[in-house]
Amino acid sequence: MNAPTDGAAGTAPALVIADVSKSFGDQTRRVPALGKVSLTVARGEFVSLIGPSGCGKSTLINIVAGLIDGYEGRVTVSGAPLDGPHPSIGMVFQDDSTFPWLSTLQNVEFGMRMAGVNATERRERAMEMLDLIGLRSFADRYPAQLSGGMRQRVALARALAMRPEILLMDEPFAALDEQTRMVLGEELLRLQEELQQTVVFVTHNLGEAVQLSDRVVAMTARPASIKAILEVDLPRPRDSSIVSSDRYGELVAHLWSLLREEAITAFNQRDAAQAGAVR
Amino acid sequence: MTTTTSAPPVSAGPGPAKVRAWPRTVGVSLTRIGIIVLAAALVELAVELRWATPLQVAPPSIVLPALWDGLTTGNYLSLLGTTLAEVGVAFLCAATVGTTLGYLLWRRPLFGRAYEPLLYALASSPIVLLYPVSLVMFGRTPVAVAVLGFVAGLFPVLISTYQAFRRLDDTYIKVAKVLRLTPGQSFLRVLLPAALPSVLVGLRLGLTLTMLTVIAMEYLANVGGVGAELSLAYLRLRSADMYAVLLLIISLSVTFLFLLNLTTRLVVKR
Repeated sequence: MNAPTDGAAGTAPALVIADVSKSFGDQTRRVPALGKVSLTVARGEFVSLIGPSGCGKSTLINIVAGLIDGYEGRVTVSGAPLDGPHPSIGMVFQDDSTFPWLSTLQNVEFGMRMAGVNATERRERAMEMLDLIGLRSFADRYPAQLSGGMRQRVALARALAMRPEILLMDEPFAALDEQTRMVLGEELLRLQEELQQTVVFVTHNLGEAVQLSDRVVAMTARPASIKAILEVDLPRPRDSSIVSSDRYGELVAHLWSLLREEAITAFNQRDAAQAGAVR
Repeated sequence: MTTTTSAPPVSAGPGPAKVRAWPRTVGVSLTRIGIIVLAAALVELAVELRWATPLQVAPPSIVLPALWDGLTTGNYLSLLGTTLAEVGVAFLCAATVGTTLGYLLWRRPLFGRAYEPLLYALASSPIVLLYPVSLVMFGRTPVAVAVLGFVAGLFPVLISTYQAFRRLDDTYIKVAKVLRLTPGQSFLRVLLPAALPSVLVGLRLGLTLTMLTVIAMEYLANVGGVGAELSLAYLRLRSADMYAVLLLIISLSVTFLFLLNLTTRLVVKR
């Protein structure tokens, strides 16, 4: 479905992040949010970013989405430098991003409609996406009539319908309960097998990162930099039964050993910040 | 301790015969009409039994014919037309200016923060008491009435529009950016529909206040439509006419609110 384009863009990595750093605030008080981060994501690869709360993972993914500018370093998408939101990049957010005034089908069609895709093709692609996420029979329902998990699937379908080369997912399952999360994780694995989509996935959940990813990027406490990259050698295709394998357990344990110290540092940073705020 | 549960027994054979349920809306409507009819009957009875004089409370048996006469042979329709025109013009201006200014205040946060407390203070002040100012500026004309109606309706519309945009979910704005919407698309297809439910709440409040103010000013200044007629009927002790006009005013506001609720339901499908 997402056939790589021909030429240089086809051979270039899907995403290159080179020495990207970002600080917030003004000249008098600059708060570094992101240290120097470099990462290359190959086509069709599923890469997760994991790190302590507030470390800057979302800042990084928002930079790649073109939502944050004024950063140091360079980001290229299929070999071309990133300059604002890119047509080849889709995004699914942590919060519910479906439009409550549109039906499921209209939500999925929305991006295509705005991009001027003709009505026939739009409907065809939207229905294809609804089939893919198993919500065809809910095409006429409004988001208020869907569960949280279903709404996230609609948001995913809306992003995929635009046929992005890279899909960014910023903690898309964070607001969902554990069982829904497992089901959607399995769904995502199935979609990944089918579409060979390049995905950059931000999560707090160690198990989720290992279960879904080809590589897991462990990040340090703020300002985030890459502490280690874990290659996930679990066989594909995978489903949720992988969580009962010994190797899965080992990988999760190893990931935690990488993150434990960072999580404690982040915890202390938050404590200090709160104490400062109280003073 | 362990507990065991068993599945509930599955009933065999045909279920209970299906009884066609009485639609709930019919029940609600009948109750509503029933209470109004009962209240009218009580008023009629009170006057009949001399608990109240016809001058204090005109019984429905006199008010309804007076209303009918006023509508068919009297000037009620023309008075109603005047009031509707004043309310319509005032509300249209309040809605247009209020939504535009509310949006602009959101786009210019400095102005928004600077004026917000002032706007709240103005919105909660009794605008109708400014009627002498309006009379001095525009004379005893329907324009003076419409201007005051506009001012009364403006602030709730302005504040609710400003708040509606302020409280917009940031995620919608991000979605619009990621999908590379033009500023026009972003406003018309995302920001406006997202803010619409709260804007409609302000419009409903604005309409109510506009109508109240228009009728109150008509009454106080004895100018224009049904409010002026109410004032005349009261001053000349025409009790039946006074209650007939009151009934007309209540019907008018109920119709307005019904239409606005209907519009809200049609526009906000969520």
